[in-house]
Amino acid sequence: MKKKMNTKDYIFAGAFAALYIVILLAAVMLFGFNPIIYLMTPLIAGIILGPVFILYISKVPKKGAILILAILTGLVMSSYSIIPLVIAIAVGILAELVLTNRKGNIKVKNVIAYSIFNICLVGPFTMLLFARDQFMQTSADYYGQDYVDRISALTPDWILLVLVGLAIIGGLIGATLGNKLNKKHFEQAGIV
Amino acid sequence: MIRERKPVLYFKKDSFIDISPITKIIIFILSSIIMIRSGSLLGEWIVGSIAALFLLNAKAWGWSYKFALLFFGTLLLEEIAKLTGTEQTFSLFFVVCNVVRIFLPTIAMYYILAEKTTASEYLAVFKKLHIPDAFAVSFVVMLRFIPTLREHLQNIRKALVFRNIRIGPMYFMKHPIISIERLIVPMLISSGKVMEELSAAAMTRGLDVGRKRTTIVKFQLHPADFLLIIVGILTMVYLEGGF
Repeated sequence: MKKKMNTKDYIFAGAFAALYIVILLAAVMLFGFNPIIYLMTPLIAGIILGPVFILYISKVPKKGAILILAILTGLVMSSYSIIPLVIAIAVGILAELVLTNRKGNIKVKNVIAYSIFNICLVGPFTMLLFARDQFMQTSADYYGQDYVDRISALTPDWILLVLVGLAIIGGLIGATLGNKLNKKHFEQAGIV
Repeated sequence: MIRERKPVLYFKKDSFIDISPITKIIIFILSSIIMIRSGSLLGEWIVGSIAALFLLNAKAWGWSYKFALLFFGTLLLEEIAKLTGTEQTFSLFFVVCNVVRIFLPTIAMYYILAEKTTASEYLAVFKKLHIPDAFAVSFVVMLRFIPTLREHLQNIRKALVFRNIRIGPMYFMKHPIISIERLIVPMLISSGKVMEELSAAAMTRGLDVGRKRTTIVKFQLHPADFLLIIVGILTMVYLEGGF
């Protein structure tokens, strides 16, 4: 399974990155207006995006596939600063390492790889740590002072650790769900 | 003897002035950063007018009218309200306007990147900059695929409404797994078909030969490109340093 990727795989990578981003943006837009649910984004979006990721890595089981997805999603998420891109690339490389050897129990490996990869959703939240004032200013412009007060009460400095934890849990649930859906729908339909 | 050959093929010009994709990408990034970071009026005017000019240049008439009306109209309304002192009465309306206006230039620039720039232009730029094919091809596909997917999502939601299933935040909270299954699985299956077709199209275009590829579109930076990049960076520096 260590064949190099060809152009067909690049097309799949781009298309799945588009899917990933559209679903992520839709989820953030649906849930972004409530501060508590906004902070739960890594969990919720992680669960929703699990099937996409699992289908992607079972459709393109080659070296470098996850890294391309990580770079593309990181580029989209890094509108504030370069940090989300760096996190996404680091996480992508880690997930690649988990999946270098695809022998053995592939399902468990998929779950581990996705729960690592899902940490990239924490990227935009690093703003809370590095550019807190600016984030609060921007949110005050959008949603009003009330929203800012609630957000800042909810986010002490250690919130990032909680978010990473949530991301990992979301990844575990999402990947398990993805494996199930994969077996139920895609393998029977012959898409994988 | 190799004679200098003039290019035989001409492409239909979609815009008045040719602006290279790299400039568009830079302006796209800069405009979204400026709109998100600084709430200053000057920045909004500059970014708005650049985006409007881009739309006009790309001959997207409907888009440019709507954009100019929405963007500058709400700006003017806010100014008028400030002058007449009725700002407080309509404060909620202006908050909504603010949110819409912040994302408008980004959406407009995205429209230009995705719909008004051809794939071969992108590939020419990436080739010149020595960016590997792995990134170039997948990036172009991603840009082109997002509008298609939005259409798919809308169609799937319509189809679900026929069966009296309305998926919103409340429904999602009640039945998370079912709503994922009902939204994501059809999307994955329908886009899987589109992907197969896309890769077949790429094969017929010879993307998969494995040789070094040449491009027919030449990549050059014109004076207009430099002007736009300089204006963008100056605005960025001025707003970040001054305010």
